Amino acid sequence: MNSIKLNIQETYIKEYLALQKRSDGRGLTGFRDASLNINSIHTADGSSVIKIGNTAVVCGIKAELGIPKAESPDVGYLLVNVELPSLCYKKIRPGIPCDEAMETTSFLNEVCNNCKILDLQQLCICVDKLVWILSCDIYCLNYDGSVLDACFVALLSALQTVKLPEVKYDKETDEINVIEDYKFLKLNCLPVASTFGVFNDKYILADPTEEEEQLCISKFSVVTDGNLLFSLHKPGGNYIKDNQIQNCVKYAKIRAKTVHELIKSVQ
Amino acid sequence: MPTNLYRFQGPEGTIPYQHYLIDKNNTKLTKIATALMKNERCDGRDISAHRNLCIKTGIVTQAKGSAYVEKGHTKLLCSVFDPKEVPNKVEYAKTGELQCEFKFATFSCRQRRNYTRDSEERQLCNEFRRAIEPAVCRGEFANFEIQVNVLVLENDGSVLSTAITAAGLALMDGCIPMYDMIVASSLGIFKNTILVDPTYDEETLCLSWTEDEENRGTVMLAYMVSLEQITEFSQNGSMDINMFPEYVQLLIDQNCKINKLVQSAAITDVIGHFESQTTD
Amino acid sequence: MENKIICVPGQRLCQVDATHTQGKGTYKRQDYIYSSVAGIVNVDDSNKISVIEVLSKDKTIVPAPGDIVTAMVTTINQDMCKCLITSVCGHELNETYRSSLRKQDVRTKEIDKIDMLQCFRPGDIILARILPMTEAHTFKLTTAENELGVVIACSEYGFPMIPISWTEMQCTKTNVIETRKVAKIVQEKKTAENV
Repeated sequence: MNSIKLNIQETYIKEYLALQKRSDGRGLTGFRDASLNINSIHTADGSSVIKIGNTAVVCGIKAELGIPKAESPDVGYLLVNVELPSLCYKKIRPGIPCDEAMETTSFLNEVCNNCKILDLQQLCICVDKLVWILSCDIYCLNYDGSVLDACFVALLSALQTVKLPEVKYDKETDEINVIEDYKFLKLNCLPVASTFGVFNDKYILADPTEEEEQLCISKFSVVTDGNLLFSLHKPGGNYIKDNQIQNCVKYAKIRAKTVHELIKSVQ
Repeated sequence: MPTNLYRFQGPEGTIPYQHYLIDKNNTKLTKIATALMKNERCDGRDISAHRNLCIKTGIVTQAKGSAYVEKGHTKLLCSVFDPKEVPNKVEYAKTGELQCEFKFATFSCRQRRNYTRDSEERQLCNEFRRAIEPAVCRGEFANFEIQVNVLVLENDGSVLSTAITAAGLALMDGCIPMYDMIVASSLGIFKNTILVDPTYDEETLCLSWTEDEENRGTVMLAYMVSLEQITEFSQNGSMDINMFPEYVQLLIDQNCKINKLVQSAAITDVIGHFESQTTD
Repeated sequence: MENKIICVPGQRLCQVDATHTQGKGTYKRQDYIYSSVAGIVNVDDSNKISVIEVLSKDKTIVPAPGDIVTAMVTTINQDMCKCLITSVCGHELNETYRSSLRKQDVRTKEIDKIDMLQCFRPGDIILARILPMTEAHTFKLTTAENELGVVIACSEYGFPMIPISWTEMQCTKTNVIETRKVAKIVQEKKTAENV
């Protein structure tokens, strides 16, 4: 968007917000409708496609066998990577991942480690010799704001579809036997992220679209599973008031419940 | 293996567990081969039948034009963007450039793919660019570049031909001036059987090496139907030279069939747009 | 929607002859007009020759020499200023294109007396015409016409200004007068630019 257009958009959005409405018809704290689809990619061991409004994200998980880290021989790997390919947004150029992709990746990994989304011990097959490596790759297909929210839902629902076969490992002969007895993974919790944009200090917009994200000077995310708060991330930008944060946490809690229902409904 | 600083990566030398189900994989190929001797295909299709196509345009709202194409289990997404200035360019060019990116999602194939572009992706990217370049009126955006991106979500054979068809639709959706719609299809040749639109397993079978000198391989042809022009023809494997006219004719026939679907998708796209405009 | 012809790229529309000529969204090949985009066929009969054109949902336009463009001034020095083209012939672009406006192209008269800083400021929105290409990749602009020049500008204090003469603009809040190369806005253009 060029600066002239941005200027026009800003006045336009201001007039809307004065009426407590947004250009797509939502209220200030309304989230967009989401739809979820699982197991649509057959080459992956687990997959899901989520659409929140126009934002679309696909997550595919590949399970592989490998050697564990020397410092933690009894845990497997859960590797989460977010890709923002150049096809999803005009501002992204092909080549190395952009800053935002890396930032989202590290944030996701941090939260996954913090809240022990998965007991990594259950990925261990033989201590110090063989563990499962779950590579979760999240590709954004359409960048229309609040990609982080979509990434969380995609990751969780994809993890829930992963089925791992039983693996027998012979310590003496190094022989690996795969028995086709598939088991689901056990997830400890389902963290749900909710992104809010801060516009003009005054307005808090839930689940901003790309257009709104451009105009909001700062945005922040609340990660919660409905009971526990896992992360509240507000990287700089405009100030917000204490009670505004309190309200947002409340909205995030309700959001988490609806997302849980959505995930449950597709299984 | 070079370390990748941009992503979280696991240890080196990982093995997919499917590797240990190898007996199953081998029997799968022989099963397909024996079935083909009886002119039967594993998915129940006729040998000359194309898989069902599912076309959706305008999926990526952030792009100028986009198309999602699903052919059997092969799924891919293509998007195009506005003409941009070519960075660090010194010379003046009379025709615009197409900047293509052809990427497999890491989970799109049997074996997990790497994040960085490998030689296969580079090769496919070049073939892809060459195939769609003649269809675009490049003189209308001289000295600029248009970005065309393809992301393969699932690879179940005939990726390149599906990608070319998708690109034609995405360019149409983005209203990039084009001389003609472009479509592509592929054949797999195994002994004397010609398989239309081979799946991944069939492709593997057609390209696997055997001692007896028999016809085997894959051919792909990109075609502009109204202008009756071939933009790209690629062949892999070894096959009888006298059979080529037959292959080309068969591919052109297939392309004409696909073109009908593509055109009806294009027409629905236009109708949908203008109807929503009149109701506004 | 009924009695309209929908076409796809590559569709032959009609023959080129004395009464039919190609318009937007079409190309000519061997005496025939073909469509190059998907859309609705429109025949413009307003002149003697009917123009065959295709109306599509979106356009792919890049700036070309001779076009009138809207641009935003980004940087200024003694000899030239750099601008970003944001729309061409009233069509808003999604991408911006770099361009430059040299001192000698600001106006037709008294070229040697021009001080760039008296004519433009960063952030000003100007109307300009693209000159024929001389360099490989940047467009050269000119405002050497009465109708071309600054159309929207803000004063030093950040308030919008209105033109009061062809060289001056006045701030709406502080009444400060600043100098600019002001465009003489023709009524018709004004409505087009205020969208």
